[in-house]
Amino acid sequence: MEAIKTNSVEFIPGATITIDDDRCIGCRKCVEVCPEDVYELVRRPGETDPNKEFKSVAVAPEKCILCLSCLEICAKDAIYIDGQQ
Amino acid sequence: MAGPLLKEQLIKPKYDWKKLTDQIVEKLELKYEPVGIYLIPAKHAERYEKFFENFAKPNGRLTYCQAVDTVRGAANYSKLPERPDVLVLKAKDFLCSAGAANLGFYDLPEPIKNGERDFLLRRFPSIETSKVTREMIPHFEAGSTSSVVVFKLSKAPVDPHIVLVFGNPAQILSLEGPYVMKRGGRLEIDVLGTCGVCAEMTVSPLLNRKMNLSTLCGGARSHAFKDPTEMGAGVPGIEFPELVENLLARQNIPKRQDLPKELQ
Repeated sequence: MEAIKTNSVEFIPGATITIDDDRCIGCRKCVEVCPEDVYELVRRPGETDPNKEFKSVAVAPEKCILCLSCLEICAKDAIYIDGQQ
Repeated sequence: MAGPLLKEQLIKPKYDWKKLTDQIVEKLELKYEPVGIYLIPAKHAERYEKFFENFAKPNGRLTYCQAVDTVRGAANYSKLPERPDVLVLKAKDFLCSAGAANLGFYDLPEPIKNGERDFLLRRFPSIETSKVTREMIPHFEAGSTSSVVVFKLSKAPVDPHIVLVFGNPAQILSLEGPYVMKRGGRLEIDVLGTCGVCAEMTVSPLLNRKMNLSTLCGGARSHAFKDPTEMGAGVPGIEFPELVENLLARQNIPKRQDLPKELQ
């Protein structure tokens, strides 16, 4: 993604995002809150528990603008950005 | 016209920050000592940054409030094996884009600037309200800051631009009277509970040239400050020595009970 240019310093979007599969319950909150559509919900193959049917996946971490909304909204503390939860 | 400042003139502290730290920590019984902040403007980056090149840099991204929490000794978010007392942060080190933007490293990412992000978080009923509120958060011009030096006050390598004092409401209350002791007046506080450590405690006191209080913010409490009873005061560095002096002077003022009964 192209950097956002300012006077002399650039904000470069993108982050390393890790989602703890065991904690994620696929509630969709991170998908809804992310202004850059970094997350998508995918079906867990072979999952029989209806509460764990889906999980969130960071499909476009290079678009992350480090607003940390996903960390704030995740009730299960399942999201890590650059190792920081 | 004066020539460029010498290294010694730039970095040699004018005040005894170790003594000032010991005095305020003892008087207020603070759990952690205050934190000093020194901002290096982009305009003079080359000249200033070399004076701080031997100080620790974080080994990964962290938020501004995590850097503050690290140097004061509450935690170590620097990813360095040993917790540093001084940290030098550049734009690439910030994990929180809003904090970096408030401090003047770069412009806010568009979805935060235009209000969309906070609208999506259901914080406002409309994008317009969200945008206006965002614009009113104290911030420096994008690209105006090159580095920020965050340090434990007793280890101050330079006179800080801002001193951050953290404590419970009773401890912060103890700063209010001494702050206006010589001039009189009242404190007008610039606060919203958004961008607490970066905008409210660091940028606001610098822009308005006066102490500001903050209840911190959701981000700071989520990422760093784990004690819910803590709040903070951002004091311009130039005013801090007098604040401590006034704080100590109030030890010797008469108590109300010492006055004649008709004046109590």
